[in-house]
Amino acid sequence: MKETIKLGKYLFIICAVAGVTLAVTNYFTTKKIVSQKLKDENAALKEVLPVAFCFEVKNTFPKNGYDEKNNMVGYVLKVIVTGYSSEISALVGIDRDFKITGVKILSQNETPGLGSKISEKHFLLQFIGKFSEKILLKKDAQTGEIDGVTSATISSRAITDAIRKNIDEFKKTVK
Amino acid sequence: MSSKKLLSEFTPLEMASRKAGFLTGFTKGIIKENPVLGLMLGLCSVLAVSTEVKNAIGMGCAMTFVLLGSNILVSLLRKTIPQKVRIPVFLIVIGSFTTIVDLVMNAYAPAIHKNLGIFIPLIVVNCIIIARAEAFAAKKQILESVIDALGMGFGYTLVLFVIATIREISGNGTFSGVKLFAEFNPVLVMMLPPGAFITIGLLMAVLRAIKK
Repeated sequence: MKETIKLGKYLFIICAVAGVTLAVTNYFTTKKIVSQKLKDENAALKEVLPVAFCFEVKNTFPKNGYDEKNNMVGYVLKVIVTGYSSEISALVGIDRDFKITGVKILSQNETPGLGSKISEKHFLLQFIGKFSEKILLKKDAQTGEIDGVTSATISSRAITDAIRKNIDEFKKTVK
Repeated sequence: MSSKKLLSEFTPLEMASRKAGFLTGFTKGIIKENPVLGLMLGLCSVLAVSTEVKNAIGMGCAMTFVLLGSNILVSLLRKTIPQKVRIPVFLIVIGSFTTIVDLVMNAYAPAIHKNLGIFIPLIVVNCIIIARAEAFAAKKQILESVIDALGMGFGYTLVLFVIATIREISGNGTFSGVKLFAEFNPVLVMMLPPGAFITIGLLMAVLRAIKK
C-alpha cells in the first residue's frame, strides 16, 4: 500500500510538471498558430480569386469575394472528391460570370509522383479562364479542354469532373 | 568511482580516455549503432518522410530535439525514478517534448509541419527514443546521455537525409525542391514505399561493407 502511494505520488509530480510545461508552451504558441492558420486560409482564397480584396467571413463555402469598394467580384467554392486513393479537397475561384479564376489543391494523398501531380501548376493553370462546359478531360469529351496528368487519369478525371459539377450546381443556386 | 571525481582530479591519461569515450559515444550513433541502419529502429517514419530532403531534415531535427530532451531528463531523474513505473515516466517525458516540438513547429515552421503531418506526434512511439531512454540514459550520466542523444539524432538525420536525397533525385528529379535535370524521366517506384525499402537495403549493405 505504502509503495503504491509512493509510486502514485511520483507519477503525479511528473504529470503535473509536464502538464504545466505544456500549458505554458501552448499559451505562447496558440496565438501564432491561429494567426498563421488564418493567414494561410486567406492566402489560399486570394490565390484562387486574385481580383478579390477581402472575403466573406464565415466557416462554410461558397464564400463571396469583394474588392476594395465592397463590390462582389466572385465566389470561392470548396470541392471535395474521392480520387484514386484518397480524398482530394480543392478551392475553386470563379468570377461573377462563373469563369474560373484559379484552382488550388488543399490536400490530397494520391500516389506520389503520379496522382499527386494534380496539385502541380501546369495542370491547374489549364482551368483558369475557362467556363464549366469546357472543364472535361480531352480524352473524355470533344468539348473538353483539360489535359489529364499522364498515368494519373483517374485522379485528373475525379478533380476535373468534380470542379465542373460543383460550378454547375452552384450556378443553379445563384440564378 | 571515477564518476564521483571532480574534473580537476583526473589524470591527463584519464582525461584523454574520457574524451575518446565521448567521441566514440557520438560516432557510434552514426556508424556502429546507427539507429536506422544498424539497430533497425524507427523505420516507419523513415519510410514515410524520406520522399523529400526538406522533410527529412525537419523530421531529423524534431527527432533529435526530443531525443536530447528525453535523454537529459531521464538521465537526471534516473536515481529517483521508481523501477516499477519507469516506462510510464519515460513516456510522459517523451510525450511532453514531442508536444512541445509539435506546437512550436506548427507556430514557426508551418510548411514543414504540414508536410510531416502525423509523423511528428508519432515521435512519441518512435522506438529509438524509448530505447535510448531505457537502455542508455537510465543508466548513464547526463553528459554521456547528451552525447548519446546527439550521436543517435545525428545518425538518424544523416540516414534520413541520404535516403531522401537518393529518393528525391531518382524519383522526382529534384533536390530539396530544386529541379536538377531539364529532361528527366523519374523512377516513380523510388517515391513509393518500396523505393524506401530498396534504398534502406542498399545503404545497409554499404554500411556492412564499411564495418568489415
